[in-house]
Amino acid sequence: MADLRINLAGISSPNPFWLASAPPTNTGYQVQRAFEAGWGGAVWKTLGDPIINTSSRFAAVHFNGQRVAGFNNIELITDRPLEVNLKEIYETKKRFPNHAVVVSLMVEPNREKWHEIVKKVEAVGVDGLELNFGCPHGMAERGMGSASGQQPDLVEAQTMWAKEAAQTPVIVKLTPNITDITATAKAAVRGGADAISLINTINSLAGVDLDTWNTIPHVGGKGAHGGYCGPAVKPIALNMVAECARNAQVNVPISGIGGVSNWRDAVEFMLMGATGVQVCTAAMHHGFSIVEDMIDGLNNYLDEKGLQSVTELIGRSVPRYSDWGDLDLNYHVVARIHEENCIVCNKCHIACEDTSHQCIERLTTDDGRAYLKVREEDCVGCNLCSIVCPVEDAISMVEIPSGELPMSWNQRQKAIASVGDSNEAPGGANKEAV
Amino acid sequence: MSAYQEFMEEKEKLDAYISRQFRIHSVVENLSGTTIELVHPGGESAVLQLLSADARKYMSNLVVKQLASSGWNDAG
Ligand SMILES: Cc1cc2nc3c(=O)[nH]c(=O)nc-3n(C[C@H](O)[C@H](O)[C@H](O)COP(=O)(O)O)c2cc1C
Repeated sequence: MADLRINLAGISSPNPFWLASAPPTNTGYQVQRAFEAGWGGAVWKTLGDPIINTSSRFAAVHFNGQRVAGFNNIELITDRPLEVNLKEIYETKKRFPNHAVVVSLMVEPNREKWHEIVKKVEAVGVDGLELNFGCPHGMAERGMGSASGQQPDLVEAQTMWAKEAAQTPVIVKLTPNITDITATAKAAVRGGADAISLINTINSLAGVDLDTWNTIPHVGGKGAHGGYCGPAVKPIALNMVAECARNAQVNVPISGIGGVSNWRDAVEFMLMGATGVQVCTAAMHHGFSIVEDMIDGLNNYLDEKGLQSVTELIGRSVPRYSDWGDLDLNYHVVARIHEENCIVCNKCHIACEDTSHQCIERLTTDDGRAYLKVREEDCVGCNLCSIVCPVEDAISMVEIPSGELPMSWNQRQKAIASVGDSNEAPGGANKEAV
Repeated sequence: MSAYQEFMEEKEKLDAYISRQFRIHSVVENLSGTTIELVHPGGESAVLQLLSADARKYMSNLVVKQLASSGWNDAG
């Protein structure tokens, strides 16, 4: 069995599965039950001046039979006094000394306020702090959360203020509601962050009720934008983690968050540079016990891969993540339909004919049997047919060696610029349109 | 016409010049595709307009090879 322990900027935990700061980590009762269930760490529900929440807070997007493909909330930070939380944090850490107890914080962008809360929270014995610069609703209207997390200068300054008082590692939690996540990640690093975590929730409106015309959710007939999370946001989160991981100026460990629902998602985040992951929606949907399958699955995967420690996964796919301009234009795949598995449902033919390159033909054998065939020479290798195909292993994408050396767009442009004066239209010769 | 046939027709024309020792002298890209000027060591020149994506890619590979044969290094 592989070693599942991780160490994120000095915060160690028995496994890489942490609960994210959210309703599952609202109280000591919950966090302690989560640790009993197997979670390796928890980021306590964000502390700050206690708020008042609305009733009706959550909504979900169910998609084609999958419940909670996406989750939307308009909940704010903790509504309980600091002292109540601190007492429970102290008790939790005492009972679970080897688990990671990290506490999420949010106060106004004011140096004294940051010093005050950091000192009070650290006094009860925590393993680290997470600065919540991400909450996109409610708190942002008060100048906190994503409102301050969208401004690199405020991220830097607040990180610095927290660091001035902090004795434990400081994780800066980033908002995805920004064009370039590395701008704020770099600001956090400049401010002295020991690690970053991402993503918090994405600005969203879950839906509109077609009968009542109310927003979903609504509070007595009125709605406000919320934050989106759950499986639907995973690709966005994964890209943001990877963009930070491959940026040399973001040279701190990363805690990956956003749509992690099982061990596979966790492995993907770790391969893309995360040291560990945090989970909210999946725990809210299925309960704390999902961590058992996560631990088992991860263990089996590491054994199959012959890895001794989960930390060997960290960042292994990062060198494979690049810019479009560095991709090889000579790499070529084509679709191949395996007749023995094909049910001739026609999905690939329709998709290719209507929305791609018209290279899948529907043919009929002499004895009247319909079958589908790819005209490989016209196939651009877009993958669409294999995506829409409902049958496993009916279509595979096969590499066709081009016989050419790799050539990226950037290399091509450089070569063309070098071949001669490419700015002037050639003249004086017979022009032949071919 | 299939995209492949379109490419093959453009490729054949380009190959014909290359087999006659023409070298790609300049490349201009615009909304209409890529216009290349080919020059023969004897001074003769010709212009081809390449429309298909595969032909424009093929031409780029020829340019890279042509430059490599004259000692060009894309890392430079
Ligand atoms: C109901 C709810 C409340 C949340 N509250 C907080 C919070 O107080 N502090 C915080 O940093 N993030 C909060 N989050 C964001 C989560 O910690 C996490 O970043 C986000 O949900 C993405 O992870 P997921 O896809 O696993 O849910 C909250 C999320 C939800 C759904």
